[in-house]
Amino acid sequence: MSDKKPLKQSLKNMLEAESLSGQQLRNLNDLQLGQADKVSWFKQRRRLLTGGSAAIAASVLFVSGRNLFSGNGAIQEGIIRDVLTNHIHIRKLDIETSSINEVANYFDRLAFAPYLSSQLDKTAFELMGGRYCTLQGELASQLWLRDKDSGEMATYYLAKYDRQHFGELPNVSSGEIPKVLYERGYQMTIWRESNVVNVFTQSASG
Amino acid sequence: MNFDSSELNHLYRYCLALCGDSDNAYDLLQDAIEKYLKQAGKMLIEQPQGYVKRTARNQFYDQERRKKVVQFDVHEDQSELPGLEKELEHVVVDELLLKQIWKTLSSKEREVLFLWAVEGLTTAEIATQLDVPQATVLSRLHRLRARTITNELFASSGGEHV
Repeated sequence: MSDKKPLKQSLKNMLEAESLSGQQLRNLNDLQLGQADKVSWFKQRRRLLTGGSAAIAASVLFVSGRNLFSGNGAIQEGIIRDVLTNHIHIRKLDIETSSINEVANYFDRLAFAPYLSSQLDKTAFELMGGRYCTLQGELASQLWLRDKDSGEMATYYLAKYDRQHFGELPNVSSGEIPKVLYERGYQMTIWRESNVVNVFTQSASG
Repeated sequence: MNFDSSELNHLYRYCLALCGDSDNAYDLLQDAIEKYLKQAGKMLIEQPQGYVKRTARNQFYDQERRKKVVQFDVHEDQSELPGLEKELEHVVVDELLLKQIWKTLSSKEREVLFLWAVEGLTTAEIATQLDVPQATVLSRLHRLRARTITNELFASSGGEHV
């Protein structure tokens, strides 16, 4: 049945029916907070990693602009740029599932099966699914993890490690501690697990 | 100054009118807000929403020019344009049909329609804001009316046109 209304009103209704998703709004708000008050970036989510909080706190580095790590700066700046681009610019998931087994089976273009590292507190997050992305030009998986308490979305990246693209990263398989970086209001925790690069990203204000 | 949810959604809809695609609209808004925040740290910006819209618009058309996909305006018969603004107030349209027509419009046409319908600007105000002649704005509105009428006629005769 035809439902005719004045053109102007119909246009207004149609255009105002479109809105940002809750996650997109949160990301934009985080972005604004991050720019407005860099101090808030230091808020630390203690329950993120199961490794001791004191040890993790000791590894926290404040990252500003180009001063990342000595000797490894350009590479890690590139990693951070790619991670933030993927984290902020939300794209549709290639697979929506809460099963890590389904995720592992789906990502058959990677040289390894994606997994949830023991460095993550798995009880705090719910897996939402994943999509392909790239880090430093290398094919990677981006998994979405929803914080069960706050509902905020975190993203978790896995890519095959090679020194040329990813430089020196702390290897937790050798007992080294992940590095925690802050940029533009986001917290990124980076480590290497055998031959896989892991990056966990979430809002620093949470 | 930070934007609240209502302002962010309004800016997003403007970007969506430019891009015609939700993913690209979000990216465009994100970039424009980043630029605004950077600039706001250095100087007082009196109209933050206007600044973000202008930034998004400039970036969008720069990108389109690089891709060489900016559509040129088609010059309509100018004799039909006087009185069009008032006439448009009386046009009625099927909402489903409007959604279909919307997909066929150019970014410039969508932008004018957004400013006219959502922001409630007159054609003279839109012309000033976009820095184009008023006749160009009227021409873009005229094309929507022409497509609406054409498609209404085809729909009533059982055909599909869009």
